[in-house]
Amino acid sequence: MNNDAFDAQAFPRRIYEMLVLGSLAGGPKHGYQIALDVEERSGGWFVLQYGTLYPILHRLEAAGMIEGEWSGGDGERRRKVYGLTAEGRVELSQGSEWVQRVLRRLSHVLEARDERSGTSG
Amino acid sequence: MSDLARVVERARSALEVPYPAKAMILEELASDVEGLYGHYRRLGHDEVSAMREVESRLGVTDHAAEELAELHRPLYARLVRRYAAGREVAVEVGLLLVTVVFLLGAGVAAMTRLRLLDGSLLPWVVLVAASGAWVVAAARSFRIVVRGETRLDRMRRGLAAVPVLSLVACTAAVLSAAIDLYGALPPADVAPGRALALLMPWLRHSADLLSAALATALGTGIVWFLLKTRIAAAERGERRLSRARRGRS
Repeated sequence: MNNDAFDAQAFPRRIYEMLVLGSLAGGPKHGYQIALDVEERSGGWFVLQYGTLYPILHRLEAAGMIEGEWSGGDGERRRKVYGLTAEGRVELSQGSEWVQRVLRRLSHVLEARDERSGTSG
Repeated sequence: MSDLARVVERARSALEVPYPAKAMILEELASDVEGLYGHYRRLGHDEVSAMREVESRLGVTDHAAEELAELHRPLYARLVRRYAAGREVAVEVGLLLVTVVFLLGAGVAAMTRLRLLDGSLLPWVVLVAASGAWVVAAARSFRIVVRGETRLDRMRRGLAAVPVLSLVACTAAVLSAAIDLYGALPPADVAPGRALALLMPWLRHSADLLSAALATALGTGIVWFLLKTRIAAAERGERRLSRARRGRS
């Protein structure tokens, strides 16, 4: 069995992680700004709810791919700002390649199906 | 309570995340709730509509709460959930019983070896109070650090017993030393030439008993201080949350 085979269960999570890392590549942001940025840049295609956003942020932070820093204080509300780390940049670059590979394989499979149906028809 | 605060309060009851991580998550959520609300207001939404948008985006779902809890759960809690799901209470009671038996047994063994349990009451009081202080310190450390406590009021519960029991142990040790000394003085008065020999058993007995009580006070005091520091961190987070909330209401 191919160890590099596509993991369908991990696919959505990895895509959301890529979206968060991609958003942070544009500069540090608060959690809600990441959600808004992803939604805006995808033309409303990707909507990050709390349920997806915060677990991803905390997982990426635990993995050292992003770094959360608290700003403010002294009576005013502290705010957490996330930024991309060097590890996160590597992951983003590898992740982008992975997404391209998935799309290439997918289109390859779909094209092969089109060719077969064209031949049989 | 404002609608914004209600979103945070709902998250508080839904999140089974141990402190102090829980306070951090709530603080982060509160700042994002306010930021997102401000964003929608700037876009021209009225208060109700902006709030509805915020709730649809940042309302805590059961799935999100479970994922966050899993991420922040200490190793012990993750292992118990994996290998003994549904038997958490039994595992905890078992561990507590083992701790009580071990600490009490170790205490009795050490004090018997040092001949401190000579039949009078006070050394027994020292033994029970010192063992109690260690058991409470171990149990609270387990609940707060190893298993993780998700409610602030439960974090504080029972911790005051540690210094109280240590104080009882120390007081009983001092009283025991004083009573034994008064018991040893008359024979020493009668035979001043043998005073040192007559007082030596008292000296050794008292020094051992006091050392045991002081070691307990020192050891459990360090544990108590570390746990108080952890609780203080959680309380600071909660205070920041309520201070910022008051500032906006």
